Amino acid sequence: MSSEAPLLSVEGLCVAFRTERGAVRAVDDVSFSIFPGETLGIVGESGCGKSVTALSILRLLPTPPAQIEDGSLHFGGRDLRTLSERELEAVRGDEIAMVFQEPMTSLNPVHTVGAQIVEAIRLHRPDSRREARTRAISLLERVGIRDAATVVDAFPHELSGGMRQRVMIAMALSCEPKLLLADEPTTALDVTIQAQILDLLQSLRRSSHMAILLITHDLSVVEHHTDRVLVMYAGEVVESARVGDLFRRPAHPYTRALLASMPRLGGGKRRTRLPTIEGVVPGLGNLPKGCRFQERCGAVVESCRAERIPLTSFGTVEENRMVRCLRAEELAS
Amino acid sequence: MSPAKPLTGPRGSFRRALSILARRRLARFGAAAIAVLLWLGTFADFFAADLPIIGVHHGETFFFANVTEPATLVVETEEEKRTSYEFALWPPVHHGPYVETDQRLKPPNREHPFGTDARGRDVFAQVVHGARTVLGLAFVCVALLVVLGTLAGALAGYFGGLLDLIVARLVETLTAFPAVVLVLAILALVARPSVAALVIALSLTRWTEVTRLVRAEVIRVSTQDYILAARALGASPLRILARHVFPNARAQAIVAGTFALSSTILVEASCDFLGFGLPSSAPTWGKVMAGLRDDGHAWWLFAFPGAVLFVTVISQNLLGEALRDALDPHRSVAAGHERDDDNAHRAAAENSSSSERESAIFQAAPRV
Repeated sequence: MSSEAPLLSVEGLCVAFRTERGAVRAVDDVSFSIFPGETLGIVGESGCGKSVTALSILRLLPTPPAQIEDGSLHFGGRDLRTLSERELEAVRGDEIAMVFQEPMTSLNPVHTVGAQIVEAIRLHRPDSRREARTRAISLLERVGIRDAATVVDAFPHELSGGMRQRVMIAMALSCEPKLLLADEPTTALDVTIQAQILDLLQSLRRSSHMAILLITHDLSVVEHHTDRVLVMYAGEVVESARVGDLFRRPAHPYTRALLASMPRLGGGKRRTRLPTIEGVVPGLGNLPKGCRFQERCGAVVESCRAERIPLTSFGTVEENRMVRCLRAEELAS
Repeated sequence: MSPAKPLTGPRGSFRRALSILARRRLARFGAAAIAVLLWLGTFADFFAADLPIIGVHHGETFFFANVTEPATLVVETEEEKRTSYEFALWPPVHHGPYVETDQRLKPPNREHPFGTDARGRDVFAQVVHGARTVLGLAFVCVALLVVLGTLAGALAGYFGGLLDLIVARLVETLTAFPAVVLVLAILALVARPSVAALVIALSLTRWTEVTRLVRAEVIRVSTQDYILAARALGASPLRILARHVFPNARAQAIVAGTFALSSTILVEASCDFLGFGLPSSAPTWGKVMAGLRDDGHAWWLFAFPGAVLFVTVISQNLLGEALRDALDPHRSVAAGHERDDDNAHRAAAENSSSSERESAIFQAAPRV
C-alpha cells in the first residue's frame, strides 16, 4: 500500500474562522495522506476540526468567515488550494464526492430522488436524461435499495433516514469518485442502519477501489471500518496509527482515555461505571499554552505546559505512528 | 376537521397546497369570486353591448355582432336600435360602455340596472367591461413585477454583498412611500402618459413585497444542507440558484404575487379616481367612481363599481392568505400531525431493512 503514491496528501493544513474576537484556528497544522482503496478514519469530539478538515479538502467552507491559511492539498498531482472555482466544480462530485451527516436535510425536498441523482450524473457525464435515469436506478440497486424503479420517483420525505442516506451515497457514487469523504455518515441513523450503511460503504470501496475518508466520533466505527486512524483534539492531530496498533497500544493519553470510555461487551467486571474524560475541550479562542489536553490529562507534568508539543514518531518504523505527547513512550510502556 | 382524502406531496408542494385550499371555505369563496369576475370580464360583450348577439337586420343575419361590430349595424338613436331588427338576441343590458345617450345621471332602472353617468353611459356596461380592463392590466403588472421582484430578491439573497445591500435599501426606501405617490412621481417622469408607462409605474411600486419575501426565503434556503450537498456534487452557483434555491422560494413568489394583484388593482383604481390613471377611453371602475366628484348625489356611480372592487380585493386577499397558509409548512393545518407520521415512517422502515421498501410505497398515509 505504501509503495503507491498517495491519492490525497494534506500537508500542514490550517483553517481559521474570522470571528468578532479575532481569528480562531479550527484546524491547526493537520497533515495526512490517503492511499487508493484505503479507509482513513478521523475521530474526535465535536468541535475538534474533523468536519472542517473534510470541507476544506473540497474548499466548501464559506469564505469569509472561514479561510485556509496555510498548507497544501495535493490530489492527483494538483494542489486543490490553487484551483479556480470552475476547476473545483469539475473535481467535486466527479473525483472527490462527499456524504453528509444529516440525510434528512441533505436532499432537496422539491425534487424526486431520481431527478437529484440524474443531476449528479449529468453534471459530469454527457449522458442523456434517459441514460442517466437508467443509471440512477442501477445506482439505487447498488446501494441496496430494493424496488429501485419505484424509489427513483419518490420524493425525499417519502423515504426513511436510512433510505435517504443510501440515496446520498448513490449520488456520491454516481461518477465513480476516487475518494469519498464521509462526514459522520451514520450519526443520525439508528444503530442497525448504521451497520448496514458502513458495511455498504466498505463493499463499495472494495468493488471500485475507492478511498474513503471516514469522519466519526464513534470509536467502534473506527475499529471495524477503517485501516488507519487520525485522532484529533482541539484542531490538532494528536495521534495517527493503523487501527490495530491504536487499539492494541494507544499512545496519547487522550486516545487512551477515549478507549477506556468505550463500552465493551463480554469481559470485564460487571456493574462498574464507565470511565469518562473529566473536563471539557478548551475553546479554540483561548487555548492553553503547550499541550491542548493538559487540563484533562492525568499524566500532565510541568513541561507539558511550556510550549507547543510537536508531532513525533512513535513505536517501530514499520508501525509508522505519530503522536503529539512528550511522555508517550514512557506512559505506553 | 372534516374527514378528508389524504394529502400527498412534500410539505410546501403545490399539489398539497391545492388540496388544503380546496377545503377552506373562504378560499373557495375567493377563488369562485375571482373566477366569476374573470368570466364577466372575458365575456363582457355578452352581458352588456349596444349590438345584439344574433341579429337579423334588413334580411341579413349577423352573428356575434356585439363582438365584431359591423359598420352597417351602427345606428344613431335608441329608437332606431330597438326597431331596425327583424329578430335580435340581445345581451341582458342593451348598452355598451362607450355609447353616450341623453339619459344622463339616471339612477338604476330597468334599462340601466346600475344607472348612467354624467355623459349618459351605462354604468353596468362600464363595470363589466371595466373588469376586463382592470383585471387585464393587473395581471400584466403582476406578471411583470413578479418576474422583476423574484429576480431581484433571488439574486440579492443568494449572492449577498453589495448587490444585496443595494436591493435591500431600495426596497426599504420604496416601501416608505405611499404607492399612489410613487406612481404619480414615476408618471411625472415620462413626457406623455401611456398605458405602458402606467403598467411600468404600477409594477415598479409593487415589486418590493415580492422581493422582500423571495429574498428572505432564498437566504433561508441557501443555508440548508442540501445546498452544501449540491455544491459538493460540483453544481455551479447559478445552477444551484436556479435548480435548488429558487424552486423552494417559488411559493413565496406566488403568494406575494396574489397579494400584489389586489394591491395593484386598488392603486390603479385610486389613480383613476384621482384622474391620472389609465390614459385611454377604456372603462375602469376607478373612472366611473371618479364621476362622484362632480355629482355627489349619484351614489350608484360609487356603490356598484365600489362593491365590485371590494369583492375583488377581498377575494384575492382571502385566496392569498389561504395560499400562504397552505404553502407554509409552519402554519399549515396539517403540519402538526405530519412530524409524528414521519417518525412513524422512520421507525417502521428502520426496524428491518425489508420494510424500508414499504415506506417508499407508504406515501399516501392520512395526514390530517
